[in-house]
Amino acid sequence: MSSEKLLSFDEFKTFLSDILGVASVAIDRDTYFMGDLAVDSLKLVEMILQFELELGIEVPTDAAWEIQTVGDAYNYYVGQVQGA
Amino acid sequence: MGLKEWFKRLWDRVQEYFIMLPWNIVSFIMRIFYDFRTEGMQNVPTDGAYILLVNEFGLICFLLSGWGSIMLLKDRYFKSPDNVMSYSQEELFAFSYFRKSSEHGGMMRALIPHSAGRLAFSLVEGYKTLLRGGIVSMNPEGDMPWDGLPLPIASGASWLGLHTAAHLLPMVASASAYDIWPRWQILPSLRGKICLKYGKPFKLCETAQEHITEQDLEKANARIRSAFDDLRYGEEGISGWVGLPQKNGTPLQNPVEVAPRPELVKNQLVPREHKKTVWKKGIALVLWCCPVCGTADALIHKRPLLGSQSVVCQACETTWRVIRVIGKDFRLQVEKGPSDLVGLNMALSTWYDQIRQNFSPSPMSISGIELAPDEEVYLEMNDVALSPHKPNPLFDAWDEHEPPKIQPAGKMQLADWPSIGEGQLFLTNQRLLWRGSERELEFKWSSVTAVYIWLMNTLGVRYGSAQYRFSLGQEVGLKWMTYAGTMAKHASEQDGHKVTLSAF
Repeated sequence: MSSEKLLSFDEFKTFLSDILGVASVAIDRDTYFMGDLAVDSLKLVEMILQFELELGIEVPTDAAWEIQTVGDAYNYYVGQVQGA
Repeated sequence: MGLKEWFKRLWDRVQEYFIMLPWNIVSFIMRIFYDFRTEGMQNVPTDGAYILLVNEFGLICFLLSGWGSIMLLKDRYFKSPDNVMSYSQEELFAFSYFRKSSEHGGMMRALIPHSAGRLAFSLVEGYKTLLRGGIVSMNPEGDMPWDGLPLPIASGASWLGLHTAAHLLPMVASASAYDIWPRWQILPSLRGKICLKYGKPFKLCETAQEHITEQDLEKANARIRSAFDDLRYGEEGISGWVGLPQKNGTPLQNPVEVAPRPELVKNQLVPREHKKTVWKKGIALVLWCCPVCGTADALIHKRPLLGSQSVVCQACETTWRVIRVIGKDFRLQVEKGPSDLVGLNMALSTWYDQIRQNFSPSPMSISGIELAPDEEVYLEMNDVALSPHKPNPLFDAWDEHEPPKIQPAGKMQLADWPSIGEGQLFLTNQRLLWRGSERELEFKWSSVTAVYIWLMNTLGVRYGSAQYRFSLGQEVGLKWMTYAGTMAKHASEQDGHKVTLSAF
């Protein structure tokens, strides 16, 4: 997956769906990772790592703690790509 | 060397001296009492990345693993602090030393076993430390067992090992560390010898894997568990540590099954208020119900200053003699009770296994609580303190019947679990219901994502991503864990959501 092109929200959902092992239709901007998707801790860590490996976006631990929902994650991603 | 450099080196030496001082005292005391020594130091890599894996199965392992870890990490830490990272129990951060170390970018990171939640994000920092050629210490990796038997381990180390292909270095104490100070005993025994063993480093994969599956993690966890077991039990294996059941001194080759016999109950139990303080219950913290008559909270562990220890069931009056076998599991021999059981001698872990196998939750009749259709109450208790992990909206305005499922974003406040009050706690097949003086909160099993026991009798529950703890007073934590774990597991099987449970 290229880190140069900004992913659309739908593409971002597919990216998350593959990592988290949940159906793409279950994912929306307001979806909470742990509350709604019941994703375990390690899956979330995997998501943060794949941000870096696949999207080229670094997520420091303090920033990761701010990410609660899919929308938070996408906004962070967009902010990093556009700020780069 | 300039004056500035000279002062820096002097300051480093002073720091090192004071950091090492308590650990040197620990080591000195253990040498005197337990002939403490180490084995396998030649296995410790002198450079390059590795993951130090520490497995604890007795309370003295807190000291041993602390000493063992710091001995390995200190040289690298003083040379290059950024290349050493140590994951430890979140409770340690109640001490300002550990909290400050974490806050100022030091080597310590907090995890809650079985319920790390968002704290687990710091594993990415461990991953980067390993890529830089540093050391990551997982202390401990996995649960401390109640009955001494090794437990399935958590997946943090496997995740790091698979993503980095770093070496893993197992470190465990010899088997006697359990019988010197088992989790259920208030003070350590002064008899026994302890050896801290470093195993041969191994890898989980030859090249770092970008993507890992649940199956990869399970396979890696089994590999780590096998390394721990080989190191701890040697050629005899776990079965050698447990030992065969015996009847009147004769080993029995076939497993023994002791089905509970409720008809043997002779006495009503004493009121709850008169029971021993939970810390003093000893073996009754493990054998939370009588394996012979099936009565919960019936056993008393008697420890006279002189003479042998015994365990007595207050309900059916069965009596066991407790025998400590140094370096092996404890043995319990029936001295008084049903004639077919008198003379039966089995390991404590085997007796506990009988309880586990025969466990079948039975509902209680209770009034004053409104139940849903098909809802049954199994346990209840008064004066249970409820402590959410800060931050949590319960500390602000929250008037809903269901507690917050989402822990607010932002930095976690480590080891900060203030109580919101005491109340009555009901455990049903559908929920945990806590009824305080000002509010009632229901934790539905369908939203519970983790259940664990902290210390002796604190029940930890992760609800969505929010963390809660119930202080169970004089109740036995393992009993509540057994019921809560069974209910949470059943709910997760019904709707497919994942729940992480500590062993019971």
